[in-house]
Parts: sequence; C-alpha cells; structure tokens
Amino acid sequence: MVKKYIAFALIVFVLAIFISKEIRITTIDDYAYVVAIGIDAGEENVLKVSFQIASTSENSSDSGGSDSAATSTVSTVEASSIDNALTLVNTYTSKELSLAHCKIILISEEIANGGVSNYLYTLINKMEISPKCNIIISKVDCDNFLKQASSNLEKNSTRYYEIIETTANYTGYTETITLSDFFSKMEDTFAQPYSILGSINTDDKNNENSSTISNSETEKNVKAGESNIKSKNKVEIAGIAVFNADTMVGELNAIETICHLILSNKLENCKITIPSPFDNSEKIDLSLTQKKNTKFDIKILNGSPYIKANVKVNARILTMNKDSDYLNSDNLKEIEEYANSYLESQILNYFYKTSKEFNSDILGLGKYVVSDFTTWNDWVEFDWLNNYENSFFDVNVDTNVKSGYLLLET
Amino acid sequence: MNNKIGDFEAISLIVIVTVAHILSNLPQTLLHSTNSSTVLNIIYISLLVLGIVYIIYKIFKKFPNQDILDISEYVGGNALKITLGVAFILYFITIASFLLRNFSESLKIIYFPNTHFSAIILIFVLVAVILNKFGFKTIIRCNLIIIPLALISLLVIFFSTVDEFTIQRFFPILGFGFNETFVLGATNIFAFAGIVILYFIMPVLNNPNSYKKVSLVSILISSLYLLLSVISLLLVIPMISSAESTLSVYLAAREVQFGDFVQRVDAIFFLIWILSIFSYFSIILSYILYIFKKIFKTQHSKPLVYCFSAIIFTVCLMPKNIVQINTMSNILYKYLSLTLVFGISIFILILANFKKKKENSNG
Repeated sequence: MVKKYIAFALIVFVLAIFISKEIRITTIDDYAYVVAIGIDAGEENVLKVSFQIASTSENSSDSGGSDSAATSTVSTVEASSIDNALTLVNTYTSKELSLAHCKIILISEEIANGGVSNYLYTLINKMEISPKCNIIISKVDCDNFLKQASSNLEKNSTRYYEIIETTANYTGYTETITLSDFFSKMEDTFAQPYSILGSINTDDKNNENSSTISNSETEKNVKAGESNIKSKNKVEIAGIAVFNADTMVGELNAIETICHLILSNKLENCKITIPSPFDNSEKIDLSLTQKKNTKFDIKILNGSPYIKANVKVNARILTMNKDSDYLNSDNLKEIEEYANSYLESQILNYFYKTSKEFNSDILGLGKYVVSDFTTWNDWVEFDWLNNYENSFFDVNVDTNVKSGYLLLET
Repeated sequence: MNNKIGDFEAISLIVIVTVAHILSNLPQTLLHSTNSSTVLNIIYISLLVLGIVYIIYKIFKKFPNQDILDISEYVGGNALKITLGVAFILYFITIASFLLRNFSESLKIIYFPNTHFSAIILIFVLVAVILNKFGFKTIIRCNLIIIPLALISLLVIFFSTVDEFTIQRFFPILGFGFNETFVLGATNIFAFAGIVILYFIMPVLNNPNSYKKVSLVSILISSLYLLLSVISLLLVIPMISSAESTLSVYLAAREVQFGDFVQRVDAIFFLIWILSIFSYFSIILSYILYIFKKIFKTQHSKPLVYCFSAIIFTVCLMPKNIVQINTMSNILYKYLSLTLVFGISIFILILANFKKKKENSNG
C-alpha cells in the first residue's frame, strides 16, 4: 500500500516538473538589479526612463564615468511607457532587469506638473516593486540626478538611498514618503499627496570640500537645489513637493517642511533660528522636538472649515555667547514667547500657503471632519478637498524651553 | 467518513472555509458593498449568523447523530434527500472550482508568470486527491496543522500594518447608507457560508453535545478574522473600496516589513496560504464524496475521487479571464450560499422541526 502511494507521489512530482516552465534554476547573478527608476518627459517619445542598475562585483568594471559609477550604472531610454523602456533596456543588458530592489522612484518636475497617476498606477501594479520604495520629485533631469546620486561619504548608491531617508529625522527638512503613502493619499477623499523634493546643486564651484552658510532667512527658505552649499556632494534632498490629486502644484521650503512635520506629528528633531529677544542683531538657535501630538479642532462655519491647531514643542537652546544668561526664569519666558510667536507665524504661513495657494490638504485634516458625516454621499458632496481652500486658521503654539546643553550660563 | 473528530478539529473545519474565502477576495467583496461601514456590517452579520446558528443548533439537538441529508429524508423522503444532496455537491463543486481558479490565477501572476494556470490548478487537485486517498482523518489532521499557521499569518498582517492605520477611514460610519449597511447589507451573511459544514458535522462529532460550542466558537473565530482582514485593508489601502484586485489580502501583506532588515515577507504568507487552499480543497472534495456516497448509498466512494477532481478541474478551466472569475466567484458564492446554505437548508430544518413537534404532540 505504501509503495502505491510513493509511486503515485513520484508520478505527481515528475508531472509537476514537466508541466511547469517555471522550474529552472535562477541565481542572484542571473539578474541585474535596478535600484532607482527615473521618469522624465521624452524629447522624441513620451517618456525618458532612466534605470540605475547596481553593479555586482563581476560587472562593476564596465560602468561609466560618474561619481556613483563604481557601484552602479545608469541606462536611459526614450519610450512610450515604463514597460517598453524596461524591455528596450533588457535588449542590450546581458541580464534580465529586476525591479525587486528598487529603492527610489524619481519623477521629474515636468512629469509631476502634468500628472503622475498613470505612471504610479503602472508601478503599483507591478509585483516586483515594493510599496515601500521612496518617491522623489526631481527638479532636474532624472538621468543627471541618478548619475550624481552618491556622496563622498557613501559611494554605494543603494546605501545612499537608504541613508537619505534618515536625514529627515535630524534635519526636519524633508520627510520619507513611500510609493504606498503617496498612492494612498492620492486615492483618499480627505488628504492630498506630497513627495520628497530633490535636486542637484549646480554651482560650478562645487569642487571644494567646504560648506558656507549664509543668514538664517536663506536657511529657512532653502529648497532642494537652491542652497549655497559648496561641496563635492551634488544631490540635495530638501523640501516637499505638494500635489493636488496627481498633479504637482507647488513646493514647500525647509521651514514649511518643519511646520508640516510638527503638524503631522512626525517631527523627530530639528533646528530653528529665532530673533534674540535681548539683542535685535543676534539670533538664537533652538533644537526642537515634539512635546505632544498636535491637536486639531475643526468646525464647519457657514460652509467653510475653521481649523484650530494646538502645537506643543520642547526646545533646547543651542546658542551660547559670552555673558549669556538665557536660563533665568524671566529670560526663558521671553525666549519661549518669541519662539511661540515665530512658530505661530510660520505655521500660519504654511496653512495659508497649502490652502489658498495650493488648495492641497497634505496634512489630511479632512480626517478630523469625516466623522461628522454619516454617509458616503454626504461626505463626497461636501467635497472636503476642494473646500480646503476656504479654510481659515488659528494656531496656538506652546514652546517649553527645557535648557541649554552643557553650559547653563556664562 | 466514519472517523469521529474532536471539538477543535471540528472548529478548524469550519474556520478553514472562511479563511480560504478571506484569502480569495471576500474582504474586498464586502468592502465594495458597504465601504466604510463594512466593520459595522460585519459585526451586524456576525450577530445575525450567531442567531441563525443557534436556531440550527436547537433543531439539530432534536436529531442527534444525523446530518442534513438524514433530516431531509425525514422531511421529504429519499427524493428530497437526493435533490438536496445533489444541490450540495453542485454547490461545493462550483464554489471550490472558482476559488481554486482565482487563487491559481493570482499565484500565476505573482510568482509563476511563465506557468500555465492549469498546471497550478492540477497540483492543487492532485494534492486533494492524494489526501482523500489517505482518508478523512488525515485531512483533518493536516488541517489542524495548517489552520493555526493561516490564522497567525492573518494576525501578523493585521498587527504589522497597525502603524499605517488611518482610523478615520472607518467614517462615514454608515458607509453607503443605513439601507446598504443593515438591510441590503444583511445579505453579506454569505461570508459565513462556512456554516455549511455544521449541517454535516453532527454524526462525526466525538461528543454531539459539543455541537453548540463548536458552532458558536467557529462563528466567533470566523467573524474575528474577517473583521481583522477587513480592518487591515480598509485602514491601510483606501483604493480597495473602489478598485478590483487579484488577491486583496496580498496587497496588505506587501505592506508588512520588520524594520529595515526583514522585508518582502509576503512569500512566507503565500506559502502558508497555499497550504490553506490545499487543506480547504481537500475538505470540500471529501464532503462531495461523503454526500455522493450517502445519497446514492455506494459501498466505496474513494474511486470517485478521480471523477470529482476531474469535474472540478474542468469547471476551473471554464472562465476565460480574471474578470469572469471575479464576477462568477463573487456572484455565485454569494447567491448560491444565500439560497442553499441560508435558505433551503434552514427551511428544511424548520420543516423537520415542525414535523417532529407534530409527531411528539400526536404521541
């Protein structure tokens, strides 16, 4: 009896092997791994698609002459669609391209301004692409961006893409946005999508290993590609690209991005500069962390949303001068008041920019209103996303200055 | 099917049917019909089904060691028994075939793009044939190993996606409206069509007195997992309420990653789900054989396993594309279950109950 079953199992096994074309041995060397895809508007065709392919130890010697060349190679092709571009690149690469390790989807500003939904639906439909890969809007040619995508501190571009995700945690100048996040917001009825903003520092003097920073106004207004940094690193990730549905409608600079992170409760740590209450010519640098989640109170008054935000942050004083006495209670209170007023004005500016200028609720404030509606039809008729531009705002910031660091007073 | 089974084994039998349908787009079907009120709807239909199951228990209590075929014979003689038996065989063949085709197509799309779907279906059919040759007890034991894994996989998906939940997607609380949630929404009880096993389980229970416990616990587990999978999809993937996807739970599984180190764990889930479908299909095939044997009083039902598996394989090949499969499996599963499992069967049980009462009153 047992022999009968074994014979039967063997027949099944052999049959399974013969009927399946999928039974073949594939190893890691059989594929070329795409670590980034760049989607740009084509000149002779609809799209110009760039694939940054990680070089394995065997083929790294073939790569061309860019900074990231030692670890990757960039192939660019014009095609009518992403899949056609992939096929075209596959025709001349010796290995089949695999998108399974794609870390970055780079979309040019030009494409983003015309709407990205077609491309994102195509990408989300692909089994290979992880919903966790990041979306970056490039202010420059994607091909150029990918070729420069490395730093003198991290030559490996794949590793570099992993590192740039974490910069948001200590600068607050950007946020990690995945394909899944972007797509969810694009489909939502109470939020609009946004994306990481990236560019290349095109300053011709970028040959020195030095960084020069100008005044605080320049710092807070910085966006990708607009800083005055002089460095070997060329790729800059700073700011947020704001979308209305699938179309890019504007950009947020560094301080606006910090406001966005505070309001969306995603701020880990950042530095801001406020005017000194004691000397008009001086500035005080504060290190900010979120004290409590931002509370929103949203009411619909005469059909327009009235949005009240209560922000609570902790701050530590970074600036120290000779004769500093920031940490006596009166001075501390004055610094707190200055910080409150500074942050309130910046947050209000953020609110009015996203509502009046962009009409894009990237914070997803609609989620605080949707519970007031009982049926889907009522909610859709109210049309929160288009009503957001009629919003008016009230912001209350409570900054709690904890202390300085090592020195309390000098 | 003379082997007696314990309470846990019986619960696993019912739960695997729900799990298989959860894997085959049941949550998406529910979300399409009720949108943001799906959670409310599931709680509501769970209560309805608990009520229905309680009625079934009360009636079966009067017919110890009998299944629905025996009861139908008691109500309408051999003709009704054969008619009902054939209806159940057709029902099982239809729902199992479309589920198998749907799952195989998804498997082909995701992992085996170069393999013809019939080869994948054939493997599922062959496994079911082998397990049925070994007997019902073997199937039950295999199911007992697989069901905890399947339930854990759904739990892992739920808890791993908690960070990405947007709780406000529960709103508007009434979804498409009160009528769609509670009146038309009541038809969503088809999601608990796994209770069909309850109609046949009484004679094989070790302890017939535990029928109530088995039925209530299995419904509670089924509703909990249905709720968890719907919550994961509704709160994480907003497009799920409007778009059609091949395997909706797989979309949620793709979101799972543990830190930066463990990514792309969906393959592990898929392995478990394949085992679950093996188990589900084997159970359905064994019930088809059991019913056939019982209504036509055949001595040996095992050789029939080739015949029925060939029929199921052929039915699997009938739909031309994934759109047809989705439409057929959604519509057929819903309306066949409502008609046979929640309509005709309960009607026969109620008639049997009246007949019994009448007999008792006549002395």
